[in-house]
Amino acid sequence: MAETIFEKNGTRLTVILEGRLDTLSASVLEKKMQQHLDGIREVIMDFEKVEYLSSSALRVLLATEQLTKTRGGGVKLLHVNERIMEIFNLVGFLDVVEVVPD
Amino acid sequence: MKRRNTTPKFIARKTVLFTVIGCVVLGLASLLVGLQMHRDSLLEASMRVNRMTAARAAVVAQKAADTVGLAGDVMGVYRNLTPEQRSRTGTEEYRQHFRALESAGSPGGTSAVLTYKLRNYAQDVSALYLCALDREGNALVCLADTDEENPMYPGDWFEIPAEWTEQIAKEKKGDWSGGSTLVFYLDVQGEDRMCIAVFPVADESNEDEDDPSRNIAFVISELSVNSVLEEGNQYVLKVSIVMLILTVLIAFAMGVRMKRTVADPVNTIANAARNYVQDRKNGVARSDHFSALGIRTGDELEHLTDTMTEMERDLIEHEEHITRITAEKERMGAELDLARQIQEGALPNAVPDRPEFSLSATMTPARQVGGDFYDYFMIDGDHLGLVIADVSGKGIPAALFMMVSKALIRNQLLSGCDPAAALERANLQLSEGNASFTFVTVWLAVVELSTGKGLACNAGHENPALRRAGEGFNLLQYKHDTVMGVMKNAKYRTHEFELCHGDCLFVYTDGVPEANNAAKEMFGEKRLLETLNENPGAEPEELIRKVREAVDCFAGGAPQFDDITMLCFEYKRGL
Repeated sequence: MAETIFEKNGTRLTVILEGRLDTLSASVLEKKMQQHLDGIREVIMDFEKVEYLSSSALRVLLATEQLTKTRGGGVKLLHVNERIMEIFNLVGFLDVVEVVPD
Repeated sequence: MKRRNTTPKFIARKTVLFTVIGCVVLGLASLLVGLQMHRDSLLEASMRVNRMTAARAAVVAQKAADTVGLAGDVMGVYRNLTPEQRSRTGTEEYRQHFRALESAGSPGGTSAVLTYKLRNYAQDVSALYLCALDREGNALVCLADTDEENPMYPGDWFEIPAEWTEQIAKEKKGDWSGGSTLVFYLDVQGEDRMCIAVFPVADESNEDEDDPSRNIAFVISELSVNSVLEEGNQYVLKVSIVMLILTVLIAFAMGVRMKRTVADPVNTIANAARNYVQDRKNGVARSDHFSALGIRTGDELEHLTDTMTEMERDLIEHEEHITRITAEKERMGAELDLARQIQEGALPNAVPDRPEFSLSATMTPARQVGGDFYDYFMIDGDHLGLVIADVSGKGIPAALFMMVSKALIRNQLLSGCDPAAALERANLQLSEGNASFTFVTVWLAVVELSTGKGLACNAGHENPALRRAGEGFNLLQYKHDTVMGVMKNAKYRTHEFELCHGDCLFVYTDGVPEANNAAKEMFGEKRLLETLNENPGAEPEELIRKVREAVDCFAGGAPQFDDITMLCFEYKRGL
């Protein structure tokens, strides 16, 4: 899996993901997110280069959403492709996280 | 792997060889160079000695004896001799002419005195004698000769050799007239080189310095170059032999030293390494193969030994570590096997024996334990509960969550509340203390067996496939509610449906559509439907088997990535 890019800007964190987010890469992502989440209220995740999303990755999304929500912010998802939208639809995520339309 | 069992002996041999070769080459080179330099300086020194001998002898002849008188006397007699008489030079008869001269003949005469005095200087040269010059005859007439074996007598004469004249002309060194001294080299018959120095003795009473006949006599000093060189060569040869012997001795000493300080320790270390391997194979427990060598040379070899000792200890520690880990792993493996049995036991086995339906289900975890489950149970005499669920992740964490969620959902449904309320209550409990944000997708249904009417809920789970009697399978698409376990206050909706005789529901977890092959392609819902529709009228057990086969076939050798679970329910109204 390619490197995830983290950009910090005040209380906003932008995360650019790439490749297949399977179980292993999801746990790597989780650790990295934990390192970067200090003082962050808003997280923007760019899904343009994401091919596939496993349930473990969904878990990480959920965890991030819950954490930022308690700080009065939330998670926004960008450039989500059709396949991943289907997954979000299926698991009812669209009620939980905000998907920014292209 | 071992090419020979003997200890190699190459460093010592190589060292000896190279030292000998190196020293011999060095020795020869310095020998030749030294020889040449020595030769050159020897020649120069000899020339100087020769000149100085002649010069000193000339001073003696000039100051310490009546050379003028002697020359005058001898030349006087000489000039009066006939050519015929002169041709007998060297004979006793010839010499008699001159013996009569007091200066030349008597023991105390000038010639004798000169000879005696000049002998002091004669040791350093091959020949030293005093001559007068017969210009017209181009001859030198002896006045005194220091040679002790076969001296020339006063009056003995010899023609000035042509080689001398040639050499003098070649070297432009001056000539017999005038005040210059002559020093030149001669090659006598190609065998030897003679260094010849000629110093004039002058008649000081003659004040005309340009008068050629002012020089009344010449001291001639001859030095054989070969004899000089011969002496030098002897000396150098002796030195060379000594040096060669020393060289060979030093070479062997170096070879021995190399062997002792490098080759032997290296071989010792190599042997220790071999012993280490052997001991390990034979199970001998030793940890000091290298430290026992006691190599304390204070150089790289000691460093090597120390490093090997460290490495040995490290390896032993590592081995112990691995042994512990393997034991631990075996223990965990045994625990996991047990866990798998527990999980398998928790899933319902016997299908309720009712004519209204037939039912089949299967769960294959990706690891020893999984996070998927299915459940079916009679809620009361007329209602059947069906559940299929997928916990996020795989393995032990998912399995733990799976056991809890299955129990909660079943209990809620068994307590009689409607499916949505059951999910909401179960969700509340699951969400508490769920710090890991593990969630579970759930599809459940409650079917009224007498009528075929049912209520279903979908908490983020895969779309079910439905086959109406006589038709093919299609996916039911509708909006799902969110997953369970994370959002405490999530709300769930119930969907009503009705089954007719011969209708069939097929539910599954995402391990089926997301199964991948080596090319990272996914099985997909399309292939699932195709497989089901090959023989849509088949029994649930058969349908599940076919899908299982199709997934296995598609995946090829690729490892199972996710838990694969399926449940198939066919309704048969009241027959």
